[in-house]
Parts: sequence; C-alpha cells; structure tokens
Amino acid sequence: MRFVAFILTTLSLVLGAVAATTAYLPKTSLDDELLIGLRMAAPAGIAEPAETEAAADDDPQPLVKATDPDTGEATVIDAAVLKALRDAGVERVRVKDFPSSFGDAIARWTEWWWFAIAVAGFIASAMISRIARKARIMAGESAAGSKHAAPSDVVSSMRAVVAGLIEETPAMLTRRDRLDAIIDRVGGLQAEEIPSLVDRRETLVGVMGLGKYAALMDVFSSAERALNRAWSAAADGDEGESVSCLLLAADRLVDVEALVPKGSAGPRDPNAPMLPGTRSLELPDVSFGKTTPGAPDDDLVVDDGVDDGADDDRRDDRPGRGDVPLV
Amino acid sequence: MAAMLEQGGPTETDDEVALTAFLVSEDLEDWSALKALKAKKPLFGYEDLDIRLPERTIDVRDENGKVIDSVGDPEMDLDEDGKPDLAVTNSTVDVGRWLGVPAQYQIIFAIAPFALGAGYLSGKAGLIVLSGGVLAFLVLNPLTYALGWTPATTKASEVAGYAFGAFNRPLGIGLLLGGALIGVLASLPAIGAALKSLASSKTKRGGGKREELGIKTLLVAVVLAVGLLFVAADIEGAKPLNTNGLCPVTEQPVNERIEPVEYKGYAITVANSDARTAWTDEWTDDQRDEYLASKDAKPGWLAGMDRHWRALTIALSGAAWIWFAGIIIAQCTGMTDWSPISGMALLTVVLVLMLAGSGNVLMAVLIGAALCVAITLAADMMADLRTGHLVGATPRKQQMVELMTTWLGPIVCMGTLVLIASVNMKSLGVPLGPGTDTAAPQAQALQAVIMGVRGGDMPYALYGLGGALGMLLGLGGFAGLGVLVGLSMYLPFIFIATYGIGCVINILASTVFGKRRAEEYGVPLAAGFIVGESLLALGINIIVLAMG
Repeated sequence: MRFVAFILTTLSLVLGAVAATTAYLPKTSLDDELLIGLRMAAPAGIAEPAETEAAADDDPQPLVKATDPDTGEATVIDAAVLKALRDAGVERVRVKDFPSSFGDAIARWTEWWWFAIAVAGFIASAMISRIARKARIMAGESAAGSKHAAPSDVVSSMRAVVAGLIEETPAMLTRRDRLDAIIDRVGGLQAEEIPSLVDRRETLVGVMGLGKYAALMDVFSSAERALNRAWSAAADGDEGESVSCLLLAADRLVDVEALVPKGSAGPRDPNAPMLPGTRSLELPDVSFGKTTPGAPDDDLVVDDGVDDGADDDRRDDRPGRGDVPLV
Repeated sequence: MAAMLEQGGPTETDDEVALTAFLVSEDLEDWSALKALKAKKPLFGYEDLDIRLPERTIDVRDENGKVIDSVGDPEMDLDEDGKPDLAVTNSTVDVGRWLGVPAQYQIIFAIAPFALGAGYLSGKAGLIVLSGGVLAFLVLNPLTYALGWTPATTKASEVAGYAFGAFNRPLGIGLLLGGALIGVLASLPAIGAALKSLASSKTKRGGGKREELGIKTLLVAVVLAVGLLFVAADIEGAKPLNTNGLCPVTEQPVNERIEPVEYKGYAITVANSDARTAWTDEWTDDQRDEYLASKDAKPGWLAGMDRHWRALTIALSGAAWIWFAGIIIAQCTGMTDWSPISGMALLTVVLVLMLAGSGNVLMAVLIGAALCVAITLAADMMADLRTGHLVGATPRKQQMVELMTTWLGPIVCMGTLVLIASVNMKSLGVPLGPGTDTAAPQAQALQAVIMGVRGGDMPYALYGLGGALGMLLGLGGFAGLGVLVGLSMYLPFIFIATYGIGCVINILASTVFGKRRAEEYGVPLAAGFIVGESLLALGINIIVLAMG
C-alpha cells in the first residue's frame, strides 16, 4: 500500500507540476479575445533565416520578441502578432498575465484539468498513506517497516543502563575505567536506544496525539541532552560533571517513563531479542549525586565519598530519582 | 597597434593585456577576454586540469540524406573556442555531457565539499531532497523542451537557465511555502505544547532552572520587534512619494514645509498651498491615478487605512511573516543544512509592496532586511541548538548568548561590504555589481522582483499552484515533504546533485562498514568538509586582504 501511495504521489506531483508550467502558456489556437492584449514573457517562433551567409551563421532570431526593442516594454499580443504566430505554426506563447476571473482562467489555462487530476491523486495517495500507517501502527512496525521493542521498553532499558552505570562505576578501580565505561555504555544508548525511540515517532504520535507526543519529547530531549553531556564530559575527562549528568539523566528518564504509553508498540514478537545494554528493568535503589539547594544550575555537587552525612541530607527518597537541578 | 596586430600580437603579458584592452575598448573582443588573461597565471594548485569532454562529430547530410561532411558537435563546444568544453572546471564536473546525455538534461555536479558533507550527514533520509531537483531538472525541463514549450530560440543547453526563472523557481518557492504552511498547521498541537512548556514556571521538576528562555522573554522580544517594525513602517510611510522631486501640479520643486497630501496610501508633497488646493479640489481621481501610475506607485491592499493603522498592520503582518519564515528556514536548515533565505527575503518584499503599495520600495527593502537578519538567526539557532544538544549544552544559555550577540552579524556584514566596495572602487571604479568580482546576483534578483511587482509581472499563479502542490504533498503524513521538494527545485541542481552523492556514500558506508563505524569516522570527516571549505575561503580572503 505504501508503494502504491508513493507511486501515486510521485505521478501526481509530476502531473501537477507539468500542468502548472502551462499556466502562463496559452495555446495560440484559443479564441482571439482570450489572447489579444496579453503581454509576452518570452520570445516566440523563429524568424526566417537571413539570406546572407554571415547572418545565417548567427543564432536564430525569434519571430516575435518578448520586448519591444524601441520602448523596452513587453510585446502586447495584437491581431497581427497572433496571425504571425499562427501562420508560423507556433502552438503556445508564454505570457505575463494570468486571468483574474475563474471563468477566464479555465478558458485560457487549458491544462487545468491535469492539475485537477493531480489534486485527486494527492488526496487518494494521502488516504492510502494514512490507512497504511494505521495498519503499521496496529502491527507495531516503524516507518521503515522494521519491528522494534515497545517505546516503554526502550525507556526502561535506558533507565537500566544509566542506573547500572551509576551503580557500577564507583566500584571501578581507575578513573580511566570509569570514564571508559560511561563513554561506552552511553555511546551505546546514543547509537541504539535513542534512535530507536525517535524512530517510533509515527507510532507514538498515532497513539498519543501530537500534543502529548511533543510534551513527551520535551522531557525526553532533556534526558537525552543530559546523557550527551555525560558522554561529552567523560570524553573530556571530567568525571564529576559526567556523573552529575548521569544522575540528571536518570532523574529525567523517570519522567519520560511516566509519560510514555505502555505497550504502545502494538503486537510484539515475544522472541524478539532484548535491546543492547538491557540487563534489568529494575532500577536499584541507589544514592545519586546531590546538589546544594539554591546553587547556580551548574553547581552540581557529586558525592565526594566522604561519609560526613552532608550528602544524605539532600538525598531524594524516591527510588531512581535524585534531587538534581537542570544543567 | 596595427603593426602589433600584423606581427601576430605581442608575446609579453603586459603587451598582451594592453592589446586586449584596446580590442575590448573597440568592441572587437569581449570583456571576458581580459578576465581570461588575468587568469593565465593561476596560483599553485589552481591550474586548469584541462580535462575536456570527448570530441564528438555529427554528420552533415545533403538533401538525399547522404553524409557529405562531419563537423564537431556544437553541444560539446558551447563556448565556441574550437575545442570541446572543459568537463572539469574549477567548480563543476559535467557528467551528463561526458556520458553523451542530451544537453537539456543537466547532470552537472558542483565541486563543493560542503554539499558532499551535508549529504553524508543527512544519509538515506537526505535522498528525498533530491526529488525536487530531479523533478525540475530531469523531468520538467527536458519535457517542456521536448514538447516545444520553451521558446524556439532557446538551445538545449540553455533550457535549465530559462526554466529556472520561468517556472522552476516560482514553483519551488510556492511548494516551500505550501509545505511549510501545512507543516505549521499539522504541528499546531506541538507548537501549543512547546508554548505551554515555555510558559510553565519551572520547565522541569526538581527545582532546577529553566532549560530554555521563558515565555516572558519571548513576549518581550515579540513586542520589541513589532514596535521596531511599526516605527520603521510609520516613518517610511510618512515619506512623500515625490521627496526631492517635483510637485505634481506645478511641476516645480516641492516645498517640504507644506504638509503633504495623502492619496491612496501615499503622501505627496506639493510646491505651495495653491498647488495643494488644486490637488485636493480641482484634480480628478483619474488625474491623480495617472500621477501615481507615472511613479509606478500602485495602491496597496491597505491603501484605505489611516497611516498609523497601516503601519501597525504592516508591522504585525511582518512579525507574523518573520515567524513563519523563521520556521521554514529552521526546518530547511534542520533537514538539509540549506536555508532559502534569499527566497524568503524576496517574498517579504513582495508582501510589503502588496500591503503598502508598490511605491513603498524603501519600506519593503527595510522590512526585507529585518527578515533576513531574523531568519538567518533562526537558521543559526537551529544549527547551534542541534550542536549544543549533541554535547549536552543548556539551550537557555545558548539562547542568551545568541540574543546578546545578534548585533554582531549585521555590523560585521556591513563592515565587510564597505571593505569590498572600497577595494572595488579603488581597482575598478565600481563599488559592486556587474563589472566586479562581486556581481551581487541577489541584489539583481531583488531589483527584478521589485520591478516585477511594480510592473505587475510576478507569476503569482505559479506561486499559488506551487503552494497548493506543497500543501497536498504534506497530506500524506510527512508534512515537511513540500518544503524539501520545493527547496531542491529552488536551489541550483549542481549542489543538490553533489549533496545526493554524499547521501549515497553514507548509505554505502553504512552497508559496508556498519552504521556505527560509518558515523564514527564519516561524520567528523563530513563536518570537516563543511567547516573546512568555509575556513579555506576565509583564509584565502584574509591573505588577499593582507596583500592589499
């Protein structure tokens, strides 16, 4: 169905565009009153070749020039010009004027019905596209035709990866290992999960409506930005900033998960493999980084490892959520 | 000089220049001959590769169809210098003629690393951008040529140039506008959600600051913009049509102390109070209309309004149009890395001339310039936010910096323009335009549009039909399709073709090396192509400037 819609759209576009090019190109065989008085926009016909050899080598000259050489004004079609064009077998002439009345437009633009057919073709192809899209949404396929995990699964998997990083990195021995782990796993999210969710736009819009989808993407883009920053900071060797952003991303992903509809991917192949990076959908109850209340937005305070109780005072009691300001 | 000519001309370059200059001054040579001399000793690396199209001959037959001679195919030697044209110039590769494709199918690729890089970054999705270019240059143009819908005197190799002005460009702009309009309509719920998000006191939970500038900032900016546009429109609207000219009644120089008369939206100054009385009481409407016609000043749609209300309506319409154009430009930049700024600017001028009247050229150009600055920033903002997003930058901070540095661009541009003009004045005696290396084609396009509106020559029906096609294309679910198709009809195909190669390379690389590796190595390379080309141009210009 999609292929039919594609072909129909293409043909309609070509037909519509070809028809449009004739809007200012009336046939010289039309009634005189439809043509006389029009201003020419391009030269028409070819003048008889000159007899002298030198002139014969020159480029052919138009039978009727677009502008009057004396006044520089556009040539106006009169009875004599029209007769000359018809006698020379010129079938069409490009003009500058388009009729302002509907009746005249239809009479002079003889190919209007081509355009009308194109319009009908577009409408038909749009209907076919929409029917095909509905069917795809029902089948849980992406626009590209491939099947994906449900968006809620993708978000859960992202949460799991981020939570896993937050949980595991402190135990890693060297700073390099910690940074590499962040780069690798967040890089994996950027390459797989995030595009996978973005690819589900059609399904999500179909299920949620554009307004709610926009609200979801508002939060999701915030989470994605935090992940990007975590990756970027890790690549720059700034571990503190990177971990802070991971915490922020974890926080935002909770919001995303709350907004994303459950099971909106339609029927899913139970044998489909888990997404890369997915280990567990259960977030560990970990203590995330903390902030100084009222601090500037970039002043993220990361657990300094010193058990002085200061960190615990600002600890969020919700699982999977830290009190982390926006970055 | 005659002796020199008899001897076959001088051999020293200086003499050659002098001789050519003489021949040009006598109309015996074209100006391009002087330019060709100038290019005889190119910088290292800029030498002509002399890769030419293959020589082809065509048979000349007598009346009975018998071959009597063979001559060189004129399609292979368009510059008529007696040898096949260059297949590879300093900016293009002509693959079509190389392969023997008829000249009306212009398959020419620009040597443009930025287009190649942009195509690579777009990947498979970018191929859709090719559709408009293919439609225009490989379907419409050859078809109209084959059907005899182009002027009989237009050669096959000239079809693309003719068609671009006659219907490709207006249709492309129409498609772009129609596509954008349906896109905005389809996105209204998303726009509403975005405004709601901006309006919320805290964008995100957790007590953090906003990620984006709030709705108040947006509203203040809108009010300021409308205010500035109102002031500009009001001041320009009050300027008499015949400032520094002659009184329509006495044909004497006007007296600026006499309050101008108003007629159909135009202020007109008169020489004295008698002339004023004559204009208001004695002249007929036909006489007044004739005077306006003599000034190419057609009344605008808002001619019946009071001047201040007219200015306010123009300011509000201008602001709304700038918003809409900003969306189009941001959309184009986001999807293709190209932005049809000139097309939007030309349409703005048309819009203002239609609202205010075709005599208000300065006001139209002023608002057009404001739009250019605004939508250029929209394109810049789109690219910056996207880049910032990739590294996790805070949009609010980016937006603040953009707002604070907005003034820099116009000042740098004006300074550059003054510099170019002064260099041209010193070396050529002409500041800009024809006769210089800075031909300013967009300025000529603007002039053509203004003349077109004043002369009633604009192909409004083509814009409208293109708009309808753009809207219809968006019905299928991808509302931005009309924008993409229109953009590539409107842009020169040579760049679109190279862009397509970039897309294909991405597809091949992803297939052969895998998507991740294709991105890991390809994306920095493609980005380098885009940035490198700009940096190279900047570097060359700095060297040229430094060398005086």
